[in-house]
Amino acid sequence: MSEHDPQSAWLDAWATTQKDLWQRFLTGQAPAPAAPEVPGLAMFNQFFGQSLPESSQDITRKMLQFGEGYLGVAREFWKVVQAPPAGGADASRLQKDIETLQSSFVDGFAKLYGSGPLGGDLLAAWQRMGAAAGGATGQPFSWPGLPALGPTRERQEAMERLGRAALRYQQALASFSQLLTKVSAEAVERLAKRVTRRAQSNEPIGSFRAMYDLWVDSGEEAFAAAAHGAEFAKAQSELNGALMELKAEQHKQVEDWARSLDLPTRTEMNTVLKRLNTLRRRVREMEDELDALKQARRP
Amino acid sequence: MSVFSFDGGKALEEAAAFSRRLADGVKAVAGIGEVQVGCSAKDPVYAEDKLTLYRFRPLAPDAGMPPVLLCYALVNRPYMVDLQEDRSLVRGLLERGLDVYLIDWGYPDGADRFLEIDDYVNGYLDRCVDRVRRDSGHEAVNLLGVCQGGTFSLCYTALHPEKVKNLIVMVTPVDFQTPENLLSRWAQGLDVDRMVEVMGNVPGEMLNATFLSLMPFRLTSQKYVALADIIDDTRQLENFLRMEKWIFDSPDQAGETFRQFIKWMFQENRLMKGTVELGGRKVDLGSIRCPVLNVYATQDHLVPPSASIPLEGLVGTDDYQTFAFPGGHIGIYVSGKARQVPKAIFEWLETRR
Repeated sequence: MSEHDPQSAWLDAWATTQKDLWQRFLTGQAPAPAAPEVPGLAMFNQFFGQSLPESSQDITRKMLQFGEGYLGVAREFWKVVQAPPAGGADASRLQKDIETLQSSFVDGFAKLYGSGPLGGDLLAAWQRMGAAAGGATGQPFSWPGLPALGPTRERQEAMERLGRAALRYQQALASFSQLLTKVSAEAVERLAKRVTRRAQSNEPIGSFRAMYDLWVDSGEEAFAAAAHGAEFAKAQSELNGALMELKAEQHKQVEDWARSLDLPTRTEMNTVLKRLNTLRRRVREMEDELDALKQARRP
Repeated sequence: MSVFSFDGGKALEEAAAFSRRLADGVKAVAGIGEVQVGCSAKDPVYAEDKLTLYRFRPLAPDAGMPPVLLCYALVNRPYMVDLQEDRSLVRGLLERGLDVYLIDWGYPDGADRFLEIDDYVNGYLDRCVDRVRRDSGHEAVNLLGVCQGGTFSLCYTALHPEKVKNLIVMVTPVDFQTPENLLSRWAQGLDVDRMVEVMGNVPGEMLNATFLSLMPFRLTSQKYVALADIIDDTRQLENFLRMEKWIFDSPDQAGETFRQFIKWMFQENRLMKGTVELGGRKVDLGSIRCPVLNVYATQDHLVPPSASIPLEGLVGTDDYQTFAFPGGHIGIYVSGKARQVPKAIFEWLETRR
């Protein structure tokens, strides 16, 4: 990327706009825009992403996504910093500051973490796999629970099963996402405790980045506590089970379709592969036996 | 008692600087282009199905020891052991005059879904060992197993002790059910039969999401925000890009092997109980009589030390040694201290020629 190409010029303009926005924001001339409303770096990815070297595309996407989210959080943080000090004694004033911080940050960090408050990429991976399963047949789900009637009864039942599986998957995904939201809230509580400790030991937070790093430490702590628990394992297991059910139903649909066109199915391929594997093992055994016999014959 | 020491000027400075660095960072990343991984020259000497066995070209006069055969995990790609010149386990061994071979398992596809651990251990690995023995003229090789490849190497050595002169295992799990092993905790509730029945091969992306979710805040957000700190340093940026490439270069896992590995190792802890059977033969780690070096990482979040250390009580050798690397599962290859590892391996091998 040279200094004069469109990508570079776009990025320079973006950085300048950011500075300008912050200047106006800090002097009270502009309301704090939510991260997605700022002239988007996502736009850069949309227009220029494909022209980047392949190994850079995913990293630039993440840099832009998390960088932009980070700036959004910084704006939330600034709102707390510049809020008028609460009245009362020192200890209760601090408590009020922390409460303000918590409510602001839950929202701010939710933005940082994209579709879910924690690890948008992780949920996205599950969602992609679910989407691959649910969308492949290209047919709408029938409404679960209605009786299947007439000559297409089996087909209707299969579609109902697929619909129910899709619903179960959506519910499992929602439960898992809810659990991650709880982790995020717990992380903010831990963050508040850390901030309090810092204030009490006269080590005030001096930068956005320091605050962000404290949040990451708090988040990892909260996540580790939850991830070792039974509730998390259960939610994860249900999500996995629901995804497998959805994919299994989708496989059945695709196989029906393939059979109707006399195309080979995965089930048939599996049978062939198993037979082939058995044959390969037998050939290897015979080769070993032959080698042993040849060795034995040698003087 | 003040919570913040912050004013508008400082806030503007920080936000503007971050924005600037982010924009420059994107330019820098794009400017680097495609990063190269795997720095040492090597030649393919054997290939079978998706597997390729490589022999590295020497970098120093031959130390006169049996060749080292590196058996990497099926998860992720083996170029991690030779990522770049100053971060290469392989190079560290070559520079000391060792003859190094590496198994690249390749990328399994639908045709490989019924491959079992037996196929990997008694099939592919055994044929690679035979090839190395034949080429080098040595009766037995020095087998170096990494992570899951270490678990395979333990099984192999137990079943074919005559072909292994010395066994080195790195960040290798043996006890899969220790309390701090988060992966194990998650694996316990997994209906792996259903998973493999439905998915066939297990997508690498799924495994990646699982590994990242072990430390989600650090691994999915902080490192990209922190990237702004190293944006001026092309060398560090390239290192970062190489690591990223490696992390997300995840082959799918052959379904049957995945099923067996999760059930036998994680859910049933068979290696500890001595109940693994491969090719109709029981894998008895007690039958490993050759010298064993167990290299583990003290801050490993994937294979915690507690998963590796119990090996001592399972192997039958009188010559057992450990090397505790002060770092993590990946740091053992790429951190500043990683140079200790090939040195320790070489010195250990040198006294066991």
